[in-house]
Amino acid sequence: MSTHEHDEILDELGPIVDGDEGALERHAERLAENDALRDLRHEATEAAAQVARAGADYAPPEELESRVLAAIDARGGGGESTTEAAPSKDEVAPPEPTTGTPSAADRPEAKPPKKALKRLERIQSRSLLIGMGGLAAAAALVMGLLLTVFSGGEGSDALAARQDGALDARIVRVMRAGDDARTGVEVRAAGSDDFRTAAANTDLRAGAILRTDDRTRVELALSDGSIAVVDHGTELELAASPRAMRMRKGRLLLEVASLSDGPIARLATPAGEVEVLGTKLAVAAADDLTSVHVTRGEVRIVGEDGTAEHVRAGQEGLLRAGGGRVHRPGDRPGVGRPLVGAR
Amino acid sequence: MQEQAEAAGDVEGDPLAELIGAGRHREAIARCAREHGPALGRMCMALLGSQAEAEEAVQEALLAAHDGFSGFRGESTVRAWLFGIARRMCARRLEVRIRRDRRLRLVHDAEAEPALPDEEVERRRAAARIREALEQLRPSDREAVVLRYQAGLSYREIGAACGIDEAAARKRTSRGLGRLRTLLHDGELT
Repeated sequence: MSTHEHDEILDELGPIVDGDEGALERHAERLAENDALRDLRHEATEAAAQVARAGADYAPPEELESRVLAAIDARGGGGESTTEAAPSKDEVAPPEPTTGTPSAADRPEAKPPKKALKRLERIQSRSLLIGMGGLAAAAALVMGLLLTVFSGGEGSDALAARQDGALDARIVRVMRAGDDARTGVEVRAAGSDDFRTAAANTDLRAGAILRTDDRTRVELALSDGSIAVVDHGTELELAASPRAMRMRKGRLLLEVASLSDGPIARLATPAGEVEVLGTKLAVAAADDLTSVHVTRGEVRIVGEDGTAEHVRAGQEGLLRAGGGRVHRPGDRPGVGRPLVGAR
Repeated sequence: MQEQAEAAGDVEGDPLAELIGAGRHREAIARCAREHGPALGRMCMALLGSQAEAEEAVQEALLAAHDGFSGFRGESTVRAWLFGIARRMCARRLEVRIRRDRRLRLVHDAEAEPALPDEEVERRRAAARIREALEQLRPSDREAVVLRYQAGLSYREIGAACGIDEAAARKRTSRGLGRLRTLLHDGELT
């Protein structure tokens, strides 16, 4: 067989593998007479079958639809293209008559796969932040927080995004250890001097400060579509600047919505700032030290001295007050990896 | 002319195209996420090899699609259009990755693999192996092969997704598949 004939076959290898009648007809004689060509077709068919498995290990997120809608809202698009008027609330994803599939607004929050929860349980026994004084026991925290995030909840519609990009929030759930009548969460509105008791479904506006006592955790839905779980004894401020929060003390789990053209989410702590480039992280902050553990995506940590470092999935970055970053090189390799696939 | 007529036939009766045409963009994007999200994710996974990046690429692609609904002319199927956007998102991410990997100094690497059932481990290994082979194809050939044999697009849809005509899509796919066969069967995988 000439090189030209070989090239002709290669140029139609796809249709030949597909069983395209025209291609098979054109090359029938060569295929019948040439063992090497038949082997080539066989091997190419096998290769094509393997390509079909190239994305088989992808785990589709159950909440994709609601995330996309929340991100659209967060960008201020109001759910329709910029050339059109924003829809009213009633127009938001009405039931699809052709499929009967419920809309994001109608659907209950996505439940975690059992396998994911089992993975998380395995992680529970691992220590995350050994010997860090006020940051100790964060492994249990991360476990608890992740279980909280993935265990669903009362659910609520996404908050409307603000024009200035600052974050509003809604308290989705309050989880309190103990059966006393207190909620254990207080909110101080922007411009106010008083903290007031808050409960589920309370809306917080930018500038508000939320604090939890030592027995209470709170799940927040943020107006950019992100989710935050505020742990015991934490004080968190929704800053007035775009997608910014400030954590004065305590611990926080963030699952940050990815906005292709929105501002970067930022979390200030007493020891520096965390710029969230990716999507999921746990942050523990004390006066002198902040730990950032990235379980998916990537963040950039910036110390008080202005130096910066990227921290990627499976890694932990530490910020020390007074300047100087501290990293923990490889003492618990892979601690975040199981979380990456947990969703 | 014939291709345009055929494409119009594909779009006609497509509920997604009708939603877009009717300006019901929010419903359309929600439906795109439901119906095509998993397939888009698998294609992004095939090209990017990262669950997190694939998820984000899909979300970005859907947001970009939402932004572009008003410009959708129905010259291809909505599916081909979505895959075309996702393909570009993946290409952009791969370029960023190349630049970033040169720049970043890692704090420490996460090396330990979680304990997984044997079949899951095998599935991941097989997927990783084919992705390794795909990485060695020319980017344009790789995308055509993935769109055809991973995402299941027709050659006309591949053409629409890649901005080429159907014949070129067929040729790219064929050449890429031929090279892939060599890599997988003749031990040329490095």
